[in-house]
Amino acid sequence: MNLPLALLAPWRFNLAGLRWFALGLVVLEVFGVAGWACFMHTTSWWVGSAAIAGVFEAMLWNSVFSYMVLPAIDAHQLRLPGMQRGLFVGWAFYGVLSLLLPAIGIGLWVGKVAVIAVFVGLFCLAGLLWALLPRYLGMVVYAPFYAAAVHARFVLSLGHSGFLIWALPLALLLLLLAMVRVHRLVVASEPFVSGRHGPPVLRIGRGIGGAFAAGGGRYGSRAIAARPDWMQARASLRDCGPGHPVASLRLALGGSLMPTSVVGWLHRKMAMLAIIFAFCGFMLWQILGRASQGAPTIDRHTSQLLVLSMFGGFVSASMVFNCGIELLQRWRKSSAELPMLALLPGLRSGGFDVKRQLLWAILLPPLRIQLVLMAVLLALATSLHVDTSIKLYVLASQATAIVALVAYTLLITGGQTATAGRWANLGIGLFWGVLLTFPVFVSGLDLHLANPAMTRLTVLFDAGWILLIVILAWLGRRGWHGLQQRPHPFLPS
Amino acid sequence: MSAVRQAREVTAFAPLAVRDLVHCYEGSNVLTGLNLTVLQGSVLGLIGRNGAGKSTLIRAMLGLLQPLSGMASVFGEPALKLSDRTKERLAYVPQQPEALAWLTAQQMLDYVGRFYPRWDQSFATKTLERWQIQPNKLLAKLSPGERQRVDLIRALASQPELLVLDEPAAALDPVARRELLREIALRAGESGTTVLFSTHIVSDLERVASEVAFLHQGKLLMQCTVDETKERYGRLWLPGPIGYAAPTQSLSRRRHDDGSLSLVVERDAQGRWPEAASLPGARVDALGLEDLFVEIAE
Repeated sequence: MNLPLALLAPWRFNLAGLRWFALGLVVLEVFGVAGWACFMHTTSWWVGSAAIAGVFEAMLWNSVFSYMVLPAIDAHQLRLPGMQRGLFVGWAFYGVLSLLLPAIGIGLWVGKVAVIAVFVGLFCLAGLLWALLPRYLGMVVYAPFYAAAVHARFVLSLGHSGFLIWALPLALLLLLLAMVRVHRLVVASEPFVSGRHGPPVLRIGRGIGGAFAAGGGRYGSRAIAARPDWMQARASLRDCGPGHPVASLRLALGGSLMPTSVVGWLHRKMAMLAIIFAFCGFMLWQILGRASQGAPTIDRHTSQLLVLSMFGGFVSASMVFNCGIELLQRWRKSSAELPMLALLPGLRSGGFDVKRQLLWAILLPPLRIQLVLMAVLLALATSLHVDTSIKLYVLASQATAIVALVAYTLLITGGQTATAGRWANLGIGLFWGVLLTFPVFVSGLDLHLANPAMTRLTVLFDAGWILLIVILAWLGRRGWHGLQQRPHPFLPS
Repeated sequence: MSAVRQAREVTAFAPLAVRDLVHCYEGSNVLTGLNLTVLQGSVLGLIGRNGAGKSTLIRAMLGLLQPLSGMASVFGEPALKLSDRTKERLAYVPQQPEALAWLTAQQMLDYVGRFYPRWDQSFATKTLERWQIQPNKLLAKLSPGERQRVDLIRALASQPELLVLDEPAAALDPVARRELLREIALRAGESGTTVLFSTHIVSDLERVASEVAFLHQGKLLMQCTVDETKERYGRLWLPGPIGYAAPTQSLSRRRHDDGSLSLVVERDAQGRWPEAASLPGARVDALGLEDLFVEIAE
């Protein structure tokens, strides 16, 4: 593979939709950075601009460049070292470009080229590692940024002279971690057979044509077969049968929908729960540290609520992600559960047709949790007397996850898996982008409620949620029409 | 009642029937205007090369995919909108059963059995034991052959009137294959079960099928009884100089290096070979089922 081909590789190996997505991110990044620079008339404008550049670069590396690992795996398995080298050259080129452009574009104005380069580099590596590590570990990657953001205990903010002292070694450490991870994925004999320990980049794959399709075969039977017996969540057949179509459908769809005993559920979720609680504990500790240093009560409450909303968003988004992946796997396989369900008698009950029963079966368990989370967050927001725009932000994050769950379910069961696959990367990227960057902005950029920039920022993020909800609702409508037009919902697509 | 009307009714309520079925994947035709009827009590072997469209045809016949055009029916009902009553009467085993990998063999049979009123639990238990499949082992941890056998038990235990098997012997060892064929023959002979199975193992077909349908490049080239194939079709060999007299209608046509021509031809309604067969130097060879399959498919 020669140099021009190596540079074209990230675009050639990705779907057209992702190429447009990448272009959109770059445009938004440029406008965001420039807009913030013009909008904020303070000496620290460059901090916000750098944060915007970092967030978009992280999304770019998470959603676009991380997928280069797939052709690299193929190249290794096909024994094509030249192609593999070319892909790594392309990766390195775009890595350098991702650092240089913001460093020059922002850093030259304020004489902080190295600081900006390292700062953006941290975001790029975080985005990349999020795609490469198992998703429950991906959360850990962001911990340093929150540590940096909540700088009451650790004086780590971007404007501080000591930034490079901790940030540069951290960046090198993350780079090493990324290189080791890529190497291990590329040389693994069966990289796709990793079940829940699989990184999102392999679980989502190249959209609809790649590992999504492979996921059904590779993750289904083989991942279960690879798991030791003590880790298997045993199904519970209680309440299954012709009189109970919803429970029966859940059992047949398996995965996170499968009815299990409490022990079985804990088996499945223990790793995820441990990471979530460890992360939240860490964040609360940071916030409380800030409180002890005399931050105003209302700011403290806002920070606490934002941490909890991140927790809620993470749980909700995980459910959407899991549900989407599992449904895609089911609806892509023509010889697995679909033919069995299509020919299984007795799935109608109480005058409701199979489509209705199926939607209940898929949506009810995650929706119940999401709605409870939303109610808890709303109650907390009310009791903590936070600003209305913050309250709206917290509620909108949960509402987005709920609409995403419904939209993806309708798209997949309505036979629009291609559309679902195409929009999955965008949806996930935007969701995490909006959910995670707001607390970074609020805490890391010293934005207090009294600061008018804070209000403007909150409104901007609220608008982001609403835009996402509108897009998802439009997708859901397409899925609903598709489902209505199908003679039965168990047709593969 | 006229014979035509009677024939129409037989087709209308046949266990399986398709008319003018067309389907394509990514722009290339897989089924091209196909017509096929599987009559009550028959054992139809669907034969064809890999990629001939056998699995697609079976799935379209059962309403497991939506064809581009054409009609498929099961016991007279549109295949895409089957009632529970009809679903209870049929069982289908896909080529590589992968369903419910998270259940044990016992759990899967217990689960599915709840939906079938005529479920034969003792058959399921005994056959699991006879075929030496551990009931408490997860389906995901079974070998492909074991998994196929569990799915066959699932299909047979529901005591279907129509049994549809997509390459059922593909993952089975010779002993299990022989047992399966015996079970099919038994079901068809004693219970009158209608069976449709696809295969490219000709000996399986000769052992149990009463009828054979040959699918080639999305078209049904022939459908007749197994015995009939030997009587009705033959290989006509014409030396080079009389190649011009070759009939225009033939199932296959191959020109050899020496200029001679081989064609698979069919007797007409009066049982006569095409006229060219009587020319001096011409020769008609009888074809076994396997030879016939190879001649047409090559």
